[in-house]
Amino acid sequence: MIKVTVWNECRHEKEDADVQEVYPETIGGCIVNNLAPYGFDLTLATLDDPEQGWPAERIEQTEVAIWWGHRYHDEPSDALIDKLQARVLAGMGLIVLHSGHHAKLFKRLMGTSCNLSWREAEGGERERVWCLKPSHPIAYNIPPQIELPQSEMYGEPFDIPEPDELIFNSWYQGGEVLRSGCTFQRGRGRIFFFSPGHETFPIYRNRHIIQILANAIQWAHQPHQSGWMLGNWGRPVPLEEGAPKQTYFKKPRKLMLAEKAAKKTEK
Amino acid sequence: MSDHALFHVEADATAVPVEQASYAALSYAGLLAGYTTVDSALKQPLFQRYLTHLLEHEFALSAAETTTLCQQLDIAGQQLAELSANGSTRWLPAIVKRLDQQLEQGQSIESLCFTLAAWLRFSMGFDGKGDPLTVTDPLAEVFMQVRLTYWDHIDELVAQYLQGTPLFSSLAAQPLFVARLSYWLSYILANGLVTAMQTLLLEVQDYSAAPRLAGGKV
Repeated sequence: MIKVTVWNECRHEKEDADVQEVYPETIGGCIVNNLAPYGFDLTLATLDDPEQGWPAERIEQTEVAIWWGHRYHDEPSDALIDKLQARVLAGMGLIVLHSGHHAKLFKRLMGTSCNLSWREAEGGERERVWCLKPSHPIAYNIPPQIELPQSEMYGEPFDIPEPDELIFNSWYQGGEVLRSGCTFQRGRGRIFFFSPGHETFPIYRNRHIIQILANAIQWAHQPHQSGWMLGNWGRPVPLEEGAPKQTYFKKPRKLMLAEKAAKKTEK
Repeated sequence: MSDHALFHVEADATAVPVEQASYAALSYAGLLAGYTTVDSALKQPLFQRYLTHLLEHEFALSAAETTTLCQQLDIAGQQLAELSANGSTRWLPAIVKRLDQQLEQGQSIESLCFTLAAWLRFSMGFDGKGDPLTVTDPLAEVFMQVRLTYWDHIDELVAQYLQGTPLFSSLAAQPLFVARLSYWLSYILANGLVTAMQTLLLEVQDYSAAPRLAGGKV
């Protein structure tokens, strides 16, 4: 059973009545409830939980993380982001939703501003999510296009590195378009960015959107743990016989300084 | 063979060779990786895989025997620093004897050499950060002098370690052993213990189709 942590900032749900109305169980709670039939081992975590929802054991055990954040992107500590980034590089899958495009973790992993254009029209506007790669595992059982009657416009230019794969592209009623479902590989970790999911529209109640999340979890789950873990790999002894090898090894700095100091004292 | 007949785990020289080898494998590598107790090292999947490979592939224990032994070794709070003392007389002879046997039979010596290399690295008296390690062993002084004098060239260093004690008298003239010991000591010096151990497990992994076809974990 894949261990999934659904991390939700969960402040809108405390601060905004309109969000409480749409997601009385919280955004994360809605995602967890709707993913439950798919048979994942789901844990819900929030920014206000101890250790900002990421105790060391959870970081270590999570196989795929889902990230929804918006108003408080600056609050997760840099130390936490360091650990999560390292965990992604070591193979944890990461699914970043909607306004998570500006999350510290996503920006760190992308290395760009991740800025895009946006419009929060009163009552939202229509979005069509077009499936561009129907044979991709994330597109399993997904129709050619999904119509979301109310959505927040997220448009290009979206300042991300060239995605490894573009699975979905969104068109909005206002005419803008966005690369709305993109995959990236960082180290051994698989990352999927998926833009639909504004806090005041019931997008996470749409069965196709939930199917996409379930598919993405399966896809992002590390396929295996064999092979090199992409550490910094000193290879002092070459494979080819007779090729030059490393014969001298630098001492740790502390030891080197201590030995130098001792020699000085001797003199 | 019953488990009790095979194993009576006590951390002293009355332990049977396979236990002695296990203590050798856990204590020096464990301390170099920053663990203080046997159970904390044994909790790490990396150490579990290392010990399992050593026991099953280079001591020819069955999977069930290995599991039993690991369970018996997993005593909460047993201090690696205490276990590390006097390794040259308590634990290493079992490794050396097994190396002789494996070489004679043309079998793998990788984990055995890694265990010896970890012991030599530990005997250098400093950890990966350069902080001092306490080395209590009849060979401690000899090995320290070797390290101070021959540090500049790995082949010289290994040659002097091997000449410094009768423990290695049967092995010092075996080119394959010398090469693999030097190889693993180089890896530990270049990468630190943990990465070197990952490399060991990568190199000894069974890459045939068998594990997947048999439904094994990949």
